[in-house]
Amino acid sequence: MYGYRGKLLEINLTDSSISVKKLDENLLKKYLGGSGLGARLLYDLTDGQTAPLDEENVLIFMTGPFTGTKIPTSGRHAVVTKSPLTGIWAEADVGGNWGYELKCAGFDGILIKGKAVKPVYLWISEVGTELRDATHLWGKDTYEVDELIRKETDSQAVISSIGQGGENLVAFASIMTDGKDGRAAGRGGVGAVMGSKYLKAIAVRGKQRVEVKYPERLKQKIKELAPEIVDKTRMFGKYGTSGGVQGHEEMLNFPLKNWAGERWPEGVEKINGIVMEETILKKQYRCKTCIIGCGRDVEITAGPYQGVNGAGPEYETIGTLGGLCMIDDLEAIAWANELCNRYGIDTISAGSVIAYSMEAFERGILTAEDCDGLQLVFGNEKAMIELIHKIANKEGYLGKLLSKGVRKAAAELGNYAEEFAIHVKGMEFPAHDPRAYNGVALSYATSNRGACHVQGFTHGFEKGFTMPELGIDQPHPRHSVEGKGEFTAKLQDLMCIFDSIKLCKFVIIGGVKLTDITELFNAVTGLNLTNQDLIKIGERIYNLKRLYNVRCGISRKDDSLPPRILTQKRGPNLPPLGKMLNEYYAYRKWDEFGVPTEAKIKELGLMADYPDAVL
Amino acid sequence: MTVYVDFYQPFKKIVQEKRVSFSFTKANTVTLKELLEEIIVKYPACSEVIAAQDKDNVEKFFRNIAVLRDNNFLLLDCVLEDGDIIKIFPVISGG
Repeated sequence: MYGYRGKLLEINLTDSSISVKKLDENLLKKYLGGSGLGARLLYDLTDGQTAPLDEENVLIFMTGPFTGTKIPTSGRHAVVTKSPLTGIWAEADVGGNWGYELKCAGFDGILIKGKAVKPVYLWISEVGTELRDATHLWGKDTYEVDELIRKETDSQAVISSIGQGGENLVAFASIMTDGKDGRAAGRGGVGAVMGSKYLKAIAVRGKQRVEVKYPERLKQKIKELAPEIVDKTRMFGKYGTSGGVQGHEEMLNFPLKNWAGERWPEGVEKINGIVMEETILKKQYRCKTCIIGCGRDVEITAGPYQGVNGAGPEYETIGTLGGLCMIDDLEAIAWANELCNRYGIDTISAGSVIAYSMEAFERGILTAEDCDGLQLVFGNEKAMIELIHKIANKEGYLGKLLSKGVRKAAAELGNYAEEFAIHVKGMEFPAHDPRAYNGVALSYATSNRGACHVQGFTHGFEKGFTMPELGIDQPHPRHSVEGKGEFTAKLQDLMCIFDSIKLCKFVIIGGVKLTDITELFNAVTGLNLTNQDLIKIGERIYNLKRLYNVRCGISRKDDSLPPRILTQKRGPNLPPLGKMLNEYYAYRKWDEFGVPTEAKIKELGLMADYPDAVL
Repeated sequence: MTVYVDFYQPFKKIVQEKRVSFSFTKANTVTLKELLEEIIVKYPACSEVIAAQDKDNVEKFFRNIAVLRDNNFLLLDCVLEDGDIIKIFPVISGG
């Protein structure tokens, strides 16, 4: 089928076997690619009993039909597995060049099974695929690994690798791509799964062009969309994702002091994208085929953080390592960001767990002895940086404790420590306050990977974006309740399309609508889908991920928010979650426990695949 | 009527003040579009920072900023009221 290679590379690390599996066309039509196809594979290959860090778990790297084409911002891939952080569905979406390169090497994706007996890395090129010894790379960080593997293979190879965080099975370890450009498959601990398999890296080099069905039609459509995308994202490109930090703080959306803070204008004035542009920014970074360029490449040439050179902190990183920890030193945050990237740990979870430990320390739940003498108070940047080293290396009591993530750390601390542990289903919050947007509240509560702002991207549509094809022809008022269930579910289904075909959600800022996506999809694949067809596929994918979670024991009891968020006001609003959840389940045709009904499963064509899906 | 505009970075640096007042002779019919036109006449660098070649194009200016009143986002045709406090940021992104 056009837009696909039709091939899945399957690696069994237990017996070092390498094989190529043909991807069935019907499967591609039904699940598209990316995390959609990943969901199908994960559902087939693992179950509720699979232990995330055991040999039987699988690790899936998947591109989509847009990857490898010239469609702007399509240089992306998904990493899918069962999460060691949450114990449920995990997907991490990442840009950079790696997905594009894999597609050009002739594969839609890679399925990793089993566990090697010693560290290995995978080298994929036009010549073939081989597993190589990685003993000499074990213990090295992702920036070092990137350089070393390119020297051993091809200077143009693109590398996805884990650092010490993944090797040490930190529950929120990431898989880093593109060396010091620092693109992260960050969330859910996908790097720990890779580490558990002794797989240090995957290097790829490919040169085959991806064939599309209607190249001229595609070219014309890109020509039509590109100027508007560029025009509407100028500030985004100029100041990066953190250009809006002050605005988010003003909206009471930027997170502060482990989600207990109200306002901090004097702090955010120092740690935003405009300050970055004026001080440490070296240049913009663009993922493959990107015309927005929101990535930051920074350099610090003097002072205590001299030596920082590479990816700069994103909005989420400034929100968590900055706002949540009350650190107002941009250079300290940039250094902390680089450390997380090098070690391969998720900056969102790292910042969250550190902020959590600061509150536990200030409340006397963690003692100075527990903390090896560290004064773990909010605003102490040195303590924040020291903790990153400890977490990545699982050093000492505190490093080991925090490396498990907020939920498990709080459970171990006991007493009332769980009261201020901020997560959903074990996933720490990204840097958007659910009290600022009811859609974010509902999205966090119901997202399949746990608290997530991009599985619904609802906040964008509660601010200014529209999607008339879904009946969202005006921004949804952010504190409204009526209709929020349907609004959130529709957007989650739409985001499944983005995550499966592989398209950056920031093109929405550039005015791209569902109709545009459908036209691009049809030009690439030669299919003749309607908007409704595509959205139905998105809904199928969303429900399949939910069914996977139901297998893992997830139900309404887990679709919740922490007590602090439901009871402690920040500004005028507390999200009325129960009411919104009822509407959401009703719209989705899930039962009162949050389980997709048999009728819904049949309607989505999942029954043929999964006759036992109703639990 | 008079409306007050709070500028945030990078606009604050251009304007050199956090809050600036704008007075209009007509009352209660002034739209956000008209206010933004005033702003780019008085402080052309605000729109130049976005796109120098389109510095007089108020729509392009608006597309790249976020405008708040009482913590609600405003559209270009919103009618302003006497005493309104309007806040202007780069388009709020996050990621």
